[in-house]
Amino acid sequence: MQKLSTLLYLAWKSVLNRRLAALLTVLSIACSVTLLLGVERISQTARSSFISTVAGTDLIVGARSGQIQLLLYSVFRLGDATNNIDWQSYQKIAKHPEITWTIPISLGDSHRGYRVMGTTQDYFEHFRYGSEQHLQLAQGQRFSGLFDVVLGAEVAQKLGYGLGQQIVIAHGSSTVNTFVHDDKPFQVVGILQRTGTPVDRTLHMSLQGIEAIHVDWQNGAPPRAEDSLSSTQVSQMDLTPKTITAFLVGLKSKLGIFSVQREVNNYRGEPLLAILPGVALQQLWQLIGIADLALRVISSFVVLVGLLGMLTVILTSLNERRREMAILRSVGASPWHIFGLLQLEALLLALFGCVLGVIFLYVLLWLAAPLLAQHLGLWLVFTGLSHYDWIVLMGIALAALLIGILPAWRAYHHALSDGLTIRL
Amino acid sequence: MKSTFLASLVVFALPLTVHAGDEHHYKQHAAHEHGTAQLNLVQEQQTLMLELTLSNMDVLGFEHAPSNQEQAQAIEKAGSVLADVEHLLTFNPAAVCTVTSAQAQRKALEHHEDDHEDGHEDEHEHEHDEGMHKESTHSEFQAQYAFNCQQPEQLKTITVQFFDVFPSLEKIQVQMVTDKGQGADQLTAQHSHIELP
Repeated sequence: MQKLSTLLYLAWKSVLNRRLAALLTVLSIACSVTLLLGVERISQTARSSFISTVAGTDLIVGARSGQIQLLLYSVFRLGDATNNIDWQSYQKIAKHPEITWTIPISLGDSHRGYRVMGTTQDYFEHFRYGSEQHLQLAQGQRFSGLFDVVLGAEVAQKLGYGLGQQIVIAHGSSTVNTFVHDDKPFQVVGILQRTGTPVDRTLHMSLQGIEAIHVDWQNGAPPRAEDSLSSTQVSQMDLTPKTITAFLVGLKSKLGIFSVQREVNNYRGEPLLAILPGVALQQLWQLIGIADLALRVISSFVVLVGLLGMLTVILTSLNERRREMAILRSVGASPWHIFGLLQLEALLLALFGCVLGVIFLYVLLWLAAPLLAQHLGLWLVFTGLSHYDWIVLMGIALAALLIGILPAWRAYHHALSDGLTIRL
Repeated sequence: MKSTFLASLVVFALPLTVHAGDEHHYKQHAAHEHGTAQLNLVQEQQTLMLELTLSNMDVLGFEHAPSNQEQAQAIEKAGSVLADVEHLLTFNPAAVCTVTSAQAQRKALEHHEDDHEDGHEDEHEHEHDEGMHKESTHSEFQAQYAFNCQQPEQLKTITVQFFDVFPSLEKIQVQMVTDKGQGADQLTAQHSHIELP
């Protein structure tokens, strides 16, 4: 024990003597540790925010396409539907005895790059995210009138909209819009609280509102001036939608989920697809997981490069330290002490690298958290080092010891052959 | 016990209400892949249900309707092998799961030809004399299991033996729904246990 603390003291002093090279080595290890742990943190956060986009929804029903495609357009507002669902089909399925609630959604229009979604009051009632949280209004109220719109938190913040703001909905989802429904402006009646999900980037209105802005359109083209109907004329019409894009389903009992799924998939009226959002999310994550794995592999290699840098630094220092070793031998150090000294040095450098790396990590997370929340909707949770993190750190220390064997072994041999006299 | 029975009625015998009164029909053909099985798992409180669908190529080695005594016996034997759930599924003991029902039967894949287009629901009812119908060249075996688990929150892993019983089976696609959430998994002979969410 006494010997170990002496060795540690000697190793420490020796490192201090070469402090610039040592500091750079520690820094390079620290950066690689930050990268490796940071990638893990971000991927964890992305995963949990991803999984929390939809909760408590048993099934999502849309036109028959792929599971992931349906999930992407219905939940993440990415991409477009291949087809719409007939309103009658929706009504028929919604009456199924096993189904307690449905949330119809109608997509296709946008406002300055943000998707507009038509739905019903059931959306506020039944939609849940995260750990079963309901949507909350930060300001105002739910939409009730034909031309009312409720904004997601990000839409309101980015575009600087408040209650009472008049907005115009554009046809289609491109940011450069040729057709604008400027004859029927909408009024902001509510703003939702931030959820960290795609809801924040959505404008919500009634299905009838969506129908109203398209009711005088003919063959998918805007009406000529003389055919166009005013907002008041439109509000007296029957605005039951003819189609919707998809709907979310809540069941009475989970036990019925697969039979309802099968019935929807075998529905004879039109080709439909019912997906389990949790299953589709997992499949999507597996796809993304490849990129995630690639990032991890790259950052592991960065750690390896850091450790090899340390090896280079120690190895090149060996020659100039022959005198140091000789002095140590002259005061009674055995060749094994020399071996231990160099092992300790490698370990010390790696440990300092790890500690500094973890400090960098938390500073970086603290700096990046507001940016990530604002731009990507990712909410970083500040937790201590996870089990995984500790394993990574231990792995790095172990790798440093293994790598340290090479210079230690060389120094051991030098010590044996040189003895007290150095032939330089 | 009674509630589990009722629950199994809910799952397996739901009235096909959605189908009633549709005006137009179109042909649809379910995907059917040899070597791949589909396993649906659902757990709510103490009730756990599993439903396995295998292609008959993997179970019997033939997919057509039985044409001789030997083949009829093979179907019967496969049915009893698949119903013998104790040898097919193992739960982690802490969950304390006991079998409440297990059954398996051969099913011809639905295919809708003009001559019995409206006989869609009949196909389910007349399965016992399915040889009488014109049936698709593909068929499946379906097994349904129900369990009662006293400690459902302890249910962590389920090990399946289907790969040993049916050597040509390559993978099982698992969809699961539990009180803790939904999940998916893919089982192979090397990775033959389901980890629940």
